Amino acid sequence: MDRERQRTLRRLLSMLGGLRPQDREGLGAAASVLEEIWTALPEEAGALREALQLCQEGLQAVLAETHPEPTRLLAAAVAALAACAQCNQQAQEGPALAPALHALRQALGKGQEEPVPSLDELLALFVQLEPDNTADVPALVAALRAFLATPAATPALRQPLQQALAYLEAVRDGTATEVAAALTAAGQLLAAAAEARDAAPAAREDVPERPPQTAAAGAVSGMALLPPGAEIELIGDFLVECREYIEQAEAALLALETDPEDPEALNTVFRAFHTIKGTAAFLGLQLVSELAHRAETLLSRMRDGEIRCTGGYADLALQAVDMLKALAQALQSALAGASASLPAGLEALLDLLAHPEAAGISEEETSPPPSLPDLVPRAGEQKTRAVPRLGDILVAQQKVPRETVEQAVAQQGQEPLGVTLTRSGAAQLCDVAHALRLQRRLLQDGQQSATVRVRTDRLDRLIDMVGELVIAHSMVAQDHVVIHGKHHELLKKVAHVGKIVRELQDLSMAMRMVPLKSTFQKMARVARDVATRQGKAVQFVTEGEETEIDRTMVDVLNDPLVHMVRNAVDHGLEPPEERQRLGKPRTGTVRLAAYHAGSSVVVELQDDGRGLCREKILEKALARGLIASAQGLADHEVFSLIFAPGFSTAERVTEVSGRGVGMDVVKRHIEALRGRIDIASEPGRGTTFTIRLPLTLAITDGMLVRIGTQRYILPTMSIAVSFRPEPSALRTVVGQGELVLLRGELLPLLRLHRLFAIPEAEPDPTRGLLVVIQVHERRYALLVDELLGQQQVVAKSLRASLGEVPGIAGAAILGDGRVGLILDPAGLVALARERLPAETARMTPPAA
Amino acid sequence: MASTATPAASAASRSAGGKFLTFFLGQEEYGLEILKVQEIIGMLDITPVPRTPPFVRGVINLRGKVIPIIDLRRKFGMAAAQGEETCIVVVKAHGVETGLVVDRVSEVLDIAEEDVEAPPDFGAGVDTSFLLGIAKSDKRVQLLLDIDKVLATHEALTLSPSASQPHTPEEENR
Repeated sequence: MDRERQRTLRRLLSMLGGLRPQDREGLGAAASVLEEIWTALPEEAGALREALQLCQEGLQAVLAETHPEPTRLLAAAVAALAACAQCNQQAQEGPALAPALHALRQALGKGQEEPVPSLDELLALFVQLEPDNTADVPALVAALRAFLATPAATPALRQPLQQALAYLEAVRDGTATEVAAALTAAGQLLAAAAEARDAAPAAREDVPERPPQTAAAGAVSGMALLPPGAEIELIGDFLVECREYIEQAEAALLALETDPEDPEALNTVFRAFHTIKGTAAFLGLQLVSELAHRAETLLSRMRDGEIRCTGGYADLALQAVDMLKALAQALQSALAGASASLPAGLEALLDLLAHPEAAGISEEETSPPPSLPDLVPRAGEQKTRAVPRLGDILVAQQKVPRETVEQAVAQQGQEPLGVTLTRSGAAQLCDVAHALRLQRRLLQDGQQSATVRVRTDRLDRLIDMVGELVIAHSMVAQDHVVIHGKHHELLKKVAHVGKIVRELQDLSMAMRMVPLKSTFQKMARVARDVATRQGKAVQFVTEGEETEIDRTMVDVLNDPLVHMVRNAVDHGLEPPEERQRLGKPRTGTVRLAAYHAGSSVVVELQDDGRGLCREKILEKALARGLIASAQGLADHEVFSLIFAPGFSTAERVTEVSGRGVGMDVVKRHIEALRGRIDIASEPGRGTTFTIRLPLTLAITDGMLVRIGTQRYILPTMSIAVSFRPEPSALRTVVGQGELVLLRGELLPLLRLHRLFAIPEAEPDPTRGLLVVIQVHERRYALLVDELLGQQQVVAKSLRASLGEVPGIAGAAILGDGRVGLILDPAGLVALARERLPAETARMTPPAA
Repeated sequence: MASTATPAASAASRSAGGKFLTFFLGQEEYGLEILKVQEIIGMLDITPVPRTPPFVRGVINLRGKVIPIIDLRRKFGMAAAQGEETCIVVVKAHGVETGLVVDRVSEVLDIAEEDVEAPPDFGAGVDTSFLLGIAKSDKRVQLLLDIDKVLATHEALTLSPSASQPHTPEEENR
């Protein structure tokens, strides 16, 4: 037996234990390590060499993503590898090797008959299922059916397995109301079947990994700390590893005390237990494996959101870590030859972990909250209630002497104090966690008194007033007396006021801004719900959820985003089988990102699905009469057709999408926010929607233009370019009014002075200026006298006082205190269309 | 016409009497319920709003609020005129602040309920529903306006038959 090889195999196994078929990187690394091992083996080690080679093939087949049931294949490969390791250790062919290899061969499609999985494989398959990812359930159902058809399914096994099958079929067909509950029930039935088999006299020679549940009480006494004939050296390695994992788990559990929902921390704890369980089981350390297994079950419930890592549950997880630590210590001394006894309370903790609810454990605090006789009154005396530091709490509770805390603070470094204290053994993990919990509660109390609810209309008024203050101040600052006078002191004072005013403005704008986080979280839920209903596997990624946006816009943005996320999952992503056929990962990715770009917020929704089909869109647009011909349309023009009212590309109406609310509504919503939406898509690669929104609706970026005696504000968002045309560029087309040629494009000419009857305006476009505005993908040239410059203005609605004024979006107060009207490009175009017949009529008679 | 007189009379009996701000349009004196009046300001630069009826002079900036300005002369179908004493009375009607351009503000009068008469019947084609009533005191006559009703309609109102020449606002605008 080769010890080095054994060690590598063991490492491989523990690595593979936590992997899923999607983790390509890890699988690739494992496959290459495996190849190294078997190629280094001498020819005479034939059986083992062949077996390892087969395992590598299995991994590679998973990586190739050509296998219909990658999860099952991976499970078979791992089982075979474990059998290999066992027979390597015993330097002879173990009893488990042949069947494991047989199963792997069959999974690889090398077997002659239909693959018939063993009950253990079924369990292995089941263990890898996740309540939120039921993509592999059909495979399990098929495997379970196949098993039931074999003679191995004895009458004793048949009944629980049939019931489990019914649960799983319900999950597969989506008829199960509670997926998690159905899976749990199926799992219990499968475990019961395995128990029944193990209890049968004809039981195979398998090493039972877990004690039967019914014998839990007596189990511990039946288990030795160290198995007879244990590999001392390997266990030594394991203990070192184990300590690392325990430290990671401790730090993560302490982080969970501050934020019980932190998914990263939960995963860390879960992974620690999971890995320890796998390795301990392999080394025959049944007690450690059993404890880790039960703790892992608790953690997986937390990870799936079934329970929260607070109160009693958090305590239980902490106790499990403490117990693991104690077990590791006992093992250490046992290895050193000392007589080691089992840590006290192990049995009780195992029972507790098996049925936490039965023992009355819940998310509530189990023990009365520890009081702080010394600290709280002192904090209360202060005007601002400072939250006591962790060290102070621990000292006040007499858990740790002050000197120790001070020492720890001195050595602290990068880690939080709690981690340092636990690691150095100065404090118990549970005590630190409780102190953190108390600190968080105090912090929350403090925060509650520090916020005041303000009615939004008051807030809006405040922001309006600050906007006016800015303008009033600039009127003072630009006053003749201030600028040209000799009052140096006055100038300084005015400048100082200006600084304060600007700060006030920033502050008041920030009051309206909220992060997009909660919106993004809602979208994650929408994506998951749709994916579950559609039987699709989706990875929903968000970026930049801390990006802030005006509060009023968040509400309006919600509906279009829900619609778009649904579309992305429902229509954008292919079903897993199709993705696999196309050589894509089974799990589709939908990415929602937000970031600031200049004075806008950009929200991007990206999927790696099938992309938009140009032909299909054109076909439908032609059928609906949206376009006359498909000639010469660029891709982005074709894609923007999906925003046309009544357009839907879904081939079939599903429950989720396709209920009449189409992309036209999305576009309308976005445009109501003065935003823009663009599409980029590549067939087979996916689609990206890009939404650009102004930071706030309260402030408009505008271009001040003069027409005759009047000044108007044109939103910068709608301006493309401005130019002064050559006389030759002007055309008059009967029935279409005036047109102007700009770089080969004929733009309709809008004369604002005529639409609005403005006196003293320049009627000659070659002496005025044409501003090109974009409205609904069309461009128009707007005739103005001159551009006066850019200006940010606070937009005010005229609707309440004057009703809808065509062509006018609102009003704003200009730098000189007068009111300027904000133009509405879409309204102007509508107005011009309305007048067109009259305009042409006026042009024809000579009297004009 | 009994049908037009009855609602006006009931309106008068409901809210007649009390303090009124009186002002002039030409030779005629009008009254506004003092509770509706917010303030009186001098003439300001008015920004015209296109494609609105001719009696809408435009909007002004009233300490950061944009409020519409109604020319009461044009609203009542009189020729436009601007003099030294022309000013803006800011009222609150339907919860919205609106400026009314008047020739001259006169005084605040305490009008007893018994001095208020129901608006007279001018005959067909003359709507008097926007009058609370007519007050008679010291040989003067004040037309008491129901400003909510005056501002509720987007049409020019004709008060006296002499001023009621039919005209369309669109034509005048061009």
